Amino acid sequence: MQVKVTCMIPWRSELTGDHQIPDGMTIREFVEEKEIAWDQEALVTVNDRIVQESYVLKEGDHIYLLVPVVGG
Amino acid sequence: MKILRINMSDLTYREEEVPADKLLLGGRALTSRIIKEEVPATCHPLGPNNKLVLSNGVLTASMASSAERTSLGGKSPLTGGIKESNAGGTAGLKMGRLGLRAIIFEGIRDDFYTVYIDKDGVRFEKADDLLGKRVSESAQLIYEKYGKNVGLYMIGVSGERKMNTAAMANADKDGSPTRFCGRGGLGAVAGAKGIKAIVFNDEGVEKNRPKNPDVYKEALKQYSLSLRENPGTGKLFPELGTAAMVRSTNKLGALPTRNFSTGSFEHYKSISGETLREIILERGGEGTPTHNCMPGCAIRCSNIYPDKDGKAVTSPIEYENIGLLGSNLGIGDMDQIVELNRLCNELAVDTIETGAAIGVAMEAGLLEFGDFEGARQLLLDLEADKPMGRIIGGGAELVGKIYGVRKVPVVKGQAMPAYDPRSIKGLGVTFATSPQGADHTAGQTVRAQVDHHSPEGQVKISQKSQVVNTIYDNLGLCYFAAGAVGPNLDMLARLITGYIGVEVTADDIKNMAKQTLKDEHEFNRMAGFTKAHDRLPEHFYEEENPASGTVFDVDQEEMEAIGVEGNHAG
Repeated sequence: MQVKVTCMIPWRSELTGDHQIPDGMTIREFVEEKEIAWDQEALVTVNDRIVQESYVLKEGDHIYLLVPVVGG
Repeated sequence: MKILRINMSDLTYREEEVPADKLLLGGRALTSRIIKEEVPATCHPLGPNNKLVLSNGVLTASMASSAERTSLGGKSPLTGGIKESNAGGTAGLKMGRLGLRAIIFEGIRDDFYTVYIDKDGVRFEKADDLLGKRVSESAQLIYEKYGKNVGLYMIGVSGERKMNTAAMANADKDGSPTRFCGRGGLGAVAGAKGIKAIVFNDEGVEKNRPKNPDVYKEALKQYSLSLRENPGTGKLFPELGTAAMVRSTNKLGALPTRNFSTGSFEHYKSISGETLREIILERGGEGTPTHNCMPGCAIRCSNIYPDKDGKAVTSPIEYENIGLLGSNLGIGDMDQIVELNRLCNELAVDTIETGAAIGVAMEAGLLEFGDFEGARQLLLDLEADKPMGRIIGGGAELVGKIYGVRKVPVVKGQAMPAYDPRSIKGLGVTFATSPQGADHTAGQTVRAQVDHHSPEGQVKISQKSQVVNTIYDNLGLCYFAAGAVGPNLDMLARLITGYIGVEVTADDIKNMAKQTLKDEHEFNRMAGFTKAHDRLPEHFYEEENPASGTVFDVDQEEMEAIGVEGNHAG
């Protein structure tokens, strides 16, 4: 199964692109497999919605890894 | 630690000791407590019964990273309710070294003074030579007169004219007066009291030392390590600053665009943190993408923006300013945004309120969205004291009323910062229910890994964030550190225990914040606020944000339970 990633974290830009993943993989499993700490190093959206860690990825999902900061 | 009480009507002062059981009252906790106890809630904000309170956080001047913030409090001429606005910079550090936890300004007068404070006491000096000038010029005159190492607070022409948008400036570690207690028009309250500037000279004063150095040093080590190791505070803020948010909020449909009519902007890339960094690095010279406004701050989210010749234009260029003075006005050119930001700084007006006011003027058709020259001219009109400038200087709600605009992005009279509440609904709850009016720093939720487009669970998230933000406001800590500190407040409790020498627990810190929120809601109730004020403007409930496909639909009763009549803050 293939998903697409757009990574906005400057030092992990190599993650941007298509990724092959096994069926049933959750978004948290995917993110942690890429060595990004869940709820620490990225705000994670799938198809433009921020999702829970238990979300099971589907064929063609578009994952965005947004920067985990706030405005001042 | 002392509290200094200054009467501006007769130019007298007296000092009071802070009792040991009040040592945990700092920053917003102290400004709001004093305002609640000493200011009649129904008073006129610019009248003799209002007070202006400047208070250091509990950790301000401790030299812990990101802990030099000072709160300014009073009854707000913009919202009509209680107000606290805080900023980093260097003045709090100097004030703390002089042994002052807080200064309470009372009375009013028509002329203007510089209040000069050193180890020998307080002097009042006529400030006629500082009036009518841009902030950088007035600051220069202060440095020439009192020395370049003094700390300062000052108002600009906006405060002299008692405008709703008036802020109070203080200087960063390089002496640049570009850090603002911006929100709520407290610069106008200072102006009504005849305070043009407050100058702190800490010459001959020993630096503050922790009362229990062993506990303090151990806690400081852990705290500093957590700031370094957290990806947000250790990498992202130093590299991209808060402007890193632009691409994220644009993606979430929350970047305010053309008077909050939608949440994504076609030119978002050209106003992103990445573009900002590229421009600064390419131009070089006096510019830098990584800069700390407070001495010793490890987060270093600030920057200095250079012109094409490498000369510094202004500092810092932040997410909120890019949102309100950029996409909200349909302006997608970084140099143009920076120029508007520079002018706001020079006039000492709140960038958020001013950007929103110009956005409403654009909505009214006074000028086109994207009209940079027109927006710039409005700020020059404000400086020249022309009628149009007075209107913009009155804030977004006033502009809307004068020109018959119904889509005005304010709550309790205060403009929304750069997040469309239909797309980040937890922030919508904060805007609606905070005693401060629409304010992202009163309960920031955008960082949470939750579906921001869903109405479910947002009240709980906002309620929790309102407490967390208040904790940081009370301690004098920048809330950007919250991501690194996390939910475990024991580390902060040990830091405070070591610094003030009084045993403090995580529960004490949390309870103090909850009490602060209760104090503020109580003041607002006495000032006439009801649950009818805990709402967003009508159109956010009825008109979809095209970028997110959502309206604001959080349950009103649930929101009211944490608002002015519910007040279950916690």
